[in-house]
Amino acid sequence: MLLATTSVAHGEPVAVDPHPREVEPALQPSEEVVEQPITADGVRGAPVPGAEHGRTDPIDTGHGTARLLGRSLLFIPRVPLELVAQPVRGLLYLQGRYSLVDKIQGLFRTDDSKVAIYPTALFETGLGLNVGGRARFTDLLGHGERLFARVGFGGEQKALAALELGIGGRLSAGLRLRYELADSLQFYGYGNGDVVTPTMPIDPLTSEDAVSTEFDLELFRVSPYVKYQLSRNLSLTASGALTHKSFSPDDVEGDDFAIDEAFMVDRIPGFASGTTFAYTELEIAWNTRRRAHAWDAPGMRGTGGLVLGFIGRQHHLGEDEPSYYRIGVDLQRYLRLAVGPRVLELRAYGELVTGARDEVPFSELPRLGGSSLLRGYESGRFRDRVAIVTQASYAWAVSSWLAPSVFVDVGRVYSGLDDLSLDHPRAGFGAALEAYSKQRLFIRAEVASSLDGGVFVYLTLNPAFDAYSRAERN
Amino acid sequence: MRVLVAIAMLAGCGGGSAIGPVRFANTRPAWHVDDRRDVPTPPQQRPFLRYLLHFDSYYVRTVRAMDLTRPLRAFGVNSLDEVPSSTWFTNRIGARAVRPAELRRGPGPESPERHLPWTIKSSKAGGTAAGFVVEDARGVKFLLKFDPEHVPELETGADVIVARLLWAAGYNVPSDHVVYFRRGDLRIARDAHTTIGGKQRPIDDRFVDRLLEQVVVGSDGRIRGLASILIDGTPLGGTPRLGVRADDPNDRIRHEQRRDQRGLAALCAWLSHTDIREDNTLDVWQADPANRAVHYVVHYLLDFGNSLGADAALANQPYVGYEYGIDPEAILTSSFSLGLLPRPWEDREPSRIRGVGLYSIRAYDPATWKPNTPAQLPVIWADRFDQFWGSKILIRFTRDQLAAAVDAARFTDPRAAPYLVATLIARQRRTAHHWFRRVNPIDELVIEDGRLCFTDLALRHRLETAATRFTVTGFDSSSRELGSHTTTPDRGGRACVTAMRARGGDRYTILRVESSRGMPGTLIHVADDPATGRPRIIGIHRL
Repeated sequence: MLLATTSVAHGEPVAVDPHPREVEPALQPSEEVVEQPITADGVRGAPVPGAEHGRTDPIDTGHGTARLLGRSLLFIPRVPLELVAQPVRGLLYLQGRYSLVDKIQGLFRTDDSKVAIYPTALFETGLGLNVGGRARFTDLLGHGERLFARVGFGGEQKALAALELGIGGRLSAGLRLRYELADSLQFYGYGNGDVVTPTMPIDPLTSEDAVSTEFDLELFRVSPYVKYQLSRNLSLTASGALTHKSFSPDDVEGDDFAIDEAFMVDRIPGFASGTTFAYTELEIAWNTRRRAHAWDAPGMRGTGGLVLGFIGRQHHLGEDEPSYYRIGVDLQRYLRLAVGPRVLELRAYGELVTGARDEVPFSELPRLGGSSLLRGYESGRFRDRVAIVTQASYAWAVSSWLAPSVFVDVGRVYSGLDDLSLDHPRAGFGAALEAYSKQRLFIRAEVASSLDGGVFVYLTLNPAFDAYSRAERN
Repeated sequence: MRVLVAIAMLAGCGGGSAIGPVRFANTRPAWHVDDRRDVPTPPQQRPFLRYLLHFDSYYVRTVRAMDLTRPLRAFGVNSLDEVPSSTWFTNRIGARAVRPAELRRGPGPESPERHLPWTIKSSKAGGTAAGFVVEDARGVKFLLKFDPEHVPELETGADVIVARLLWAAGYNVPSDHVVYFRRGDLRIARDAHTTIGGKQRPIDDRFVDRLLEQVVVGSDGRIRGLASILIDGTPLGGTPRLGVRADDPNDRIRHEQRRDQRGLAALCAWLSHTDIREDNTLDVWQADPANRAVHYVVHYLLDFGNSLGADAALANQPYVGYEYGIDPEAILTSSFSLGLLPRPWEDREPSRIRGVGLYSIRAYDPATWKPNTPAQLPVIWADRFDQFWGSKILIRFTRDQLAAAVDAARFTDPRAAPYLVATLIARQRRTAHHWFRRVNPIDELVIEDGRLCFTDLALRHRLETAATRFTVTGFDSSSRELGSHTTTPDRGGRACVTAMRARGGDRYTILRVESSRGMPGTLIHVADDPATGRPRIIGIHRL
């Protein structure tokens, strides 16, 4: 007979064969027994552990000639295993025994963690090794205020200094200061053209031929922002920047071209003279992106979306520089297809500037390529007055802390709105892996390529589809 | 790695007759071992090296595979394939009456609840949950822990239930009790202190009040907690999962080869004790209860608050019990299938019963159940014989005994206890059913009036309904066949058959008992007792 009970609360039928109450273990006497402790005297004379088996045949120890021979053969691959494993084990031992990480961290922060000053060493693909330090001061006055400072030297980002002062709460505001010397930034010319080998310097304003060139940047920027959370999902952000940028050709090696070999640099607005401008922007965002279920990793968005629009005004400060508007929209939608979760992520992003091609400094034009917009292409591969990209990604969690995804990005740049068409789209594709901490995204790695070839690896601490700050573009 | 293990197994395979080489001495089985010899000075304390432990979970397995280590049957069993009582394990359920009242009360001293007021001595060290070290009016010290606010009654309930069941199963556990008290019942010792950032600070009323703000206080002002009475003796750290304690002369069997440690696997699966790992065990250097001058090491299991699906609910991790926290096999399978393969835990739902975690019979598979991490290697390496041994123990619990253990959790939701008892029984039966199909589940063997009698546990517990016949074939000690008989068990699974006997000497005979259900047989070794001349069973070897 089967007794079917149903847990209404769980909604899970629990088919239970009635436990045979009449069945009691055979060795169970009926009288109550108060357990007497086993004592050393009580077990004297009993076999010692290992001798209780009562066997007279030789006990199998698992060793044999064939096994010894096999072990000898496997000794060779074992050497590299041990060479890798033992140092790791040593470090893990020290960590466990002496809490090394905590002790080291303790050297760089106060007991209450309100002040932390620590060295950094970062390696980024394409940017090389950058060493420096960071300082963090939080809540010193008890109002949620924070001050970050960062300096770094080395790699393509030769010098970097940044300072951020912010206050938290529903109204948050901050001020960021940044000085940066960067090598080897990419310039491919304007438009959606294919890469060519130039026979003579190209006029980038009239030709869409692309050439891979590099330039150096020196940047100084002061950028304040104020963000007001109107409701749980709706926010309004006013931001601005006072920026000076100057550019110079980069030293090239091998088959690459110097920017002044491939392009008529006097026809690249802002390149020779640099650019100095003030930028102000208003952004409104309806952001409901979040994890879809309490069982999903906290850092894994699984539902909701983003509707973000911005309008900014670039005010000329230097001679012969224009003033113009920057307008854009970012639309995102996350659909949890199934438990696990399996998530479809969709995005459409568009940005335009109202200034003419020959007026807007080349560094301020909308760009595609890199780790955010049109992955699979080099950063700054496409630039023009209008940039549009659509992105789709399918992500699935393979554990509570790891989610791979595959994605495809399709987009292109245009010289103007009247140039919009579906012709000659550029498509990138790839795969990503996100690792999560207990609170948020820990790190995201991407491998991307495109129909035009090339393989790019990105490592980032930010989620995919994170909107970038126009006021802080380099 | 599996290929390497297969090579190792092939390498270790030897020839043998139908009854193999195993032979037993004509003696009584050992029901105790002498591992209580005096260890005058406490063995060295071992630090718990969490990260190294987890790394080694993979490293050790790789090294073992490269060593072509062949899985060996567990040691620490007597001639009847049972575990003798020791400092690790005490035969309780099945060996003596374990009355429901005893299970409800639990092992060790009485609950501190009736011994108010309590004096806070210090705050709890380690772990993430709030807690104090407290002394009751008797002078008994205990650890007072609480449920997180968002899952009231969950950890405290799971802990006391599983502690009682594992204790009744035979393991050493602390005396854990669900207690209710009021803020006014707490005093603070003059020298009470807590450690913050490595510095000692005094505990004051404000500190206690702030800590109690994190726990659920009933509308009547009562606070629920878990009182875990501190174990007497000198704590030595967790029980090493591998090898032996070199400085403990009583510790002679490698821990990963102990049946009582490996057989725990079946019980852990049944109870969803996913947090089984070295830091939830404790070796304690204790004085002998009869002679305080004699000391030895006793081995305990600790911290069961994450059992019964509590950890899955606490950490919002529905995969717990099905996958390790870091599970390369699951990660790779899911990655390369683009997540298209469904996983058995995906349709789990959080319980809406107060005090109940993600503990159900649905999608429970004792064969594929996994703890949180593969760190507790004895449990991970349990073979079908270990699982069978564990299943034999767990199936002995009756509904009344289970209900008594659940009753100790003092759930306030009236649905909680019936649900948990029903689920414990359902999982108990599924666990036993699975392993009783991997090993011939005959037990309670005796020679009576020249007949071999035994019980088929699967039939006895109504886990199998198929008509079953047993064939018993006799062999002498030189493997010569003596003939065979068949028998059909009664409704209770009990069967008897004439025992063929060899001639000469003590008439050493091996009876191979095979079931028509098709699993490997069992070899029963019989010889005449030299003292009485009557036949007796001197050994059991399961195939």
